[in-house]
Amino acid sequence: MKAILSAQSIKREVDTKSGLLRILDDVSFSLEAGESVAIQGASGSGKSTLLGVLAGLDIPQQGKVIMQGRDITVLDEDQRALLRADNIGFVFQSFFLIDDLTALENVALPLELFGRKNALAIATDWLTKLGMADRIGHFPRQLSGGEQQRVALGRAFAVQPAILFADEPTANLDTATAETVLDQLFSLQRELNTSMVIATHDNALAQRCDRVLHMHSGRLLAEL
Amino acid sequence: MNKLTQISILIKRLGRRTIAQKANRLLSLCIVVCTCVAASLGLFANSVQSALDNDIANYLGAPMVVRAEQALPIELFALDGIAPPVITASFTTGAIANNAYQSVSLKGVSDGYPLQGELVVRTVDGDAKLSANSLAIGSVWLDQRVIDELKIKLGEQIQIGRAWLTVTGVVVHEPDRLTQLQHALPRAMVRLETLAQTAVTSDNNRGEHRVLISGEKNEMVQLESLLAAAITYQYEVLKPGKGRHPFSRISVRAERMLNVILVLILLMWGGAAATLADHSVRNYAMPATVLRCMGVNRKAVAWALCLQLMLLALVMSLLGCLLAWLIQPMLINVMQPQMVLQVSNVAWRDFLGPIGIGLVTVVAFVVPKLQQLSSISVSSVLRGQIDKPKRRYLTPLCAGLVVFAMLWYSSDNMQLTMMLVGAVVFLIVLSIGFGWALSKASAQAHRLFRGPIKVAVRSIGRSPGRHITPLASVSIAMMAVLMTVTLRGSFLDVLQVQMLDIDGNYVYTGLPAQQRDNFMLAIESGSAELKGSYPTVSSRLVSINGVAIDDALTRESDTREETRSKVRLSWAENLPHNNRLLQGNWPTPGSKDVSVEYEVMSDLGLELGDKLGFQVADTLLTSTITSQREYQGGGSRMMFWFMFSEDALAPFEQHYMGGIMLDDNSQNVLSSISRNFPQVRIVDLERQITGIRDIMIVLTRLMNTTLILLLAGALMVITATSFVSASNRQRQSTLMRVIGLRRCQCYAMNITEQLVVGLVACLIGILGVQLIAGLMFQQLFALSYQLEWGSAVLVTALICATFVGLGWLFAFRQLQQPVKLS
Repeated sequence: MKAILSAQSIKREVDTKSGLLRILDDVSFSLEAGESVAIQGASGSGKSTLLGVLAGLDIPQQGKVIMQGRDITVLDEDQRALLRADNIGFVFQSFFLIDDLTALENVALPLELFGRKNALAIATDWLTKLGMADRIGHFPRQLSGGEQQRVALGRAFAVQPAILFADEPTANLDTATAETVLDQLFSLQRELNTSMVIATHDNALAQRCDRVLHMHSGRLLAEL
Repeated sequence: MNKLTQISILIKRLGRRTIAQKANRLLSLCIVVCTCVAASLGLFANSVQSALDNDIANYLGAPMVVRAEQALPIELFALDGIAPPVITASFTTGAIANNAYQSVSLKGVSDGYPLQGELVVRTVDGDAKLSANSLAIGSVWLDQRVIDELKIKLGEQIQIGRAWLTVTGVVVHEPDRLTQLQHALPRAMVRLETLAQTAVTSDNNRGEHRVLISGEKNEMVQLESLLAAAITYQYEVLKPGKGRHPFSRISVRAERMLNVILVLILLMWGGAAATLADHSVRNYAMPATVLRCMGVNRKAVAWALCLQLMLLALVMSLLGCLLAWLIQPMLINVMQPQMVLQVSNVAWRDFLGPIGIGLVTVVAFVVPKLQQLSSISVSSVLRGQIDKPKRRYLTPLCAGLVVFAMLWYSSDNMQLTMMLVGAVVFLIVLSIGFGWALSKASAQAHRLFRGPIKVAVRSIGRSPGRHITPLASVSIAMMAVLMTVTLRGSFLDVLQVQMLDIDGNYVYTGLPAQQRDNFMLAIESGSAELKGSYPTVSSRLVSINGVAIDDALTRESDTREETRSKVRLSWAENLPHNNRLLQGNWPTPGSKDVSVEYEVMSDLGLELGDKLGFQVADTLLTSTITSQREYQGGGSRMMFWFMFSEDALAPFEQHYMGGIMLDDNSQNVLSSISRNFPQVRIVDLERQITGIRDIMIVLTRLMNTTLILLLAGALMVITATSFVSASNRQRQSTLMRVIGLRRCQCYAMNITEQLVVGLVACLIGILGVQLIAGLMFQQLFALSYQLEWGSAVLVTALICATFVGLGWLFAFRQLQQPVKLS
């Protein structure tokens, strides 16, 4: 099967007071269409940086990131932004909804950024699908953690992304709520055949993915 | 651990964080700029005011002049701290030589004349600045015109009154000539001893007696009280800001204008500081909460932060004052060469005000906000939600009173203070109204937009409260700039009408009506230009409502000497262009109604409907006051206190007065006029006008400098308020970049939000200035107000451009930040 996303020999270093700090060290990675991969590792092992590089938020000093046949490391910022708006969805640990927008407007935002028509109608459908129909006019601060994360799921899936990146999506939720959110996440992923990369400490969540990778000191260790 | 120990530990530990916070750095910069501008303007205004007073004193011949129609008791002026006074006495008489006669204004002067200003005399040795000490008893200095008319030379003798005097000099420039226009005849100057020899003082000849005084300020004030108690007849005190002379209003208005601007600057910065403080509350919410969780007293946290900021304000205020002191020479250099200013001797007391401004700004606008920290719910902060802090009304009320007291202190004018407070309250109410309307409008309008613009518009609507302070402070800034621009324009317009290139560079008086046509022909044939011609009837005000003038006016009232001596009545079919009707109707044709200038109305305690009795030749003319008007010129322009319809004055002997514009090539017209119209008096004002021009240039520069400083302050306010808005957007901008926001969309989002706030603030500012400035101009500056729409558009464009620029800058900075997932 052809990889929808691949990374080859990525190196990423940052300059610190105590010298160069290597965050990603010769990391290679491949993700196939519809596949879900969990990346586990200790805090500071480089999981979030890897996600950022794979999503085109950050550029590695060395190596290539090929997304749907295009090397995103040679694209400029606007081209990468367009690529993200069209192909990528994000789910964060702290939800990161925009406070000034309602749940509906939060979900519609990426559609509008990409210039999609009927953004509000599409967003309404997604929120209904996620069981949030009665909360579409609410602002984030009026929602519980689980509800906020479901809105975040709606925002991520509304553009029907080819790839979804999730960074500790259940870390801020209680077990029961986390379970519900994960059910919805994996259900939508399967339904849309979305590829998914999840950075997590949660073993239960990792076990629900097709593959689990481990990171240690910036290196991606062998698949378990 | 007691609260004080907790506070001191917290100050020590949180100090670095306080300084490192961008909002606090901006607040510090605000305070530095605020105190620097306030101190600079204060020091600069002191220098300009003292130089202006000096210049005006030059035109008065002394820092203070007392004038009366009879000799003043010189012994009253012998006070410690007052220099020996100089006496002058002017009488109208004639000079005879070579069988020719010329009317002259004979002025006797004592030793030391002039106390200030330049008396330039041309002697056989050439032009020189001299004093009366160089004028020998028995000799006379004459205007060139007298010498020409009498065909005499230096060293020859002329007869004045009963004395034969030797002509030893030509008066080239006499400092106080401009303030003695009623004596418009050419000058003959002698020593007081010589004046007595001429005997012109003894034949019932009415003259003008002056005592020129200089000395310590306090002693001069004391002298004024002494004179008021001791002198029972009419006299007038002339000082730079007092008395009927061309510069009195200029001085007072310039001072008031600076006061208004200083107070507005203070309010602008207050708004900016409050906006930044609002931001600080959010930044401090988390550390304050954590500290409270650790057992620190909630008030100790708030007070530690307040004291830190007050300490910061004190240091920054001192820095601002130091900066102001350093830039003084630069500001003073702007005034060269028209005005020679000295860098003021700076006393520590001069900086108390500006330092107070810095501290009070923090105490009044920042501390109440930080005090709200103690009312923030710990649990909500820990949940990541900072609720709106509970409103406390007592602290803002106290802060309001502190600001009010400070305004009162800084303006030293209750009326001004009340007006400004009213204006600011009005603007705040307007801002709240607009903030609410903006919220409602954007709640609907955001539907029209998509993507980042929608977010920007929605953000404004979602948090109207957050926008009220910036709206208020930017609208106050807008109002301040607009008022200064308009005030500057109106002020300079008023000064402009005093320029003699409108009224000519010579003034003629005493032209009989029947000779008017011939006079005009003579002027035109000599390539000169007649600038205005005003009919006059000479009279004396003798009664008010049938009561004799001396009984009708009490000594305490600030009556004018002129109104009780000879006054010129004039008429016009319609209101003259440089007058403004304040109340009532213009005299109707055929009636004996009179229109009176409003300052005279006020000085004489007159009201519409009062009847005035004028003695015109042998006839008593009784007229009813039907209107009061404001004269919008001053100085050398023709001004009449009492104006009638033409029919009312038709039966009396009429004369004309007006201006003549003569260039260097048409000076021979003067000789022709002297020959053919001997009773016409002509005064050369060119030299005095050069002086007025210099003062105007100085004032223009003063106002321009003030405007630039004000614009710098407004820019600071805009930056501070925009910073808060942009800082709030940083997080959501990053998030939106993660989900695909492009660079252009990021710019559009930031610029739109800034632009909307800027536009609304400008709208409030324009509305405010339209509604408030008219009243303020009339009450404080006696100027009519009309908004210059060109300026308003320009200032709006400037402010919006600044907002757009800042929006761009903030977007640029946001885009420089790395996008992170966590």
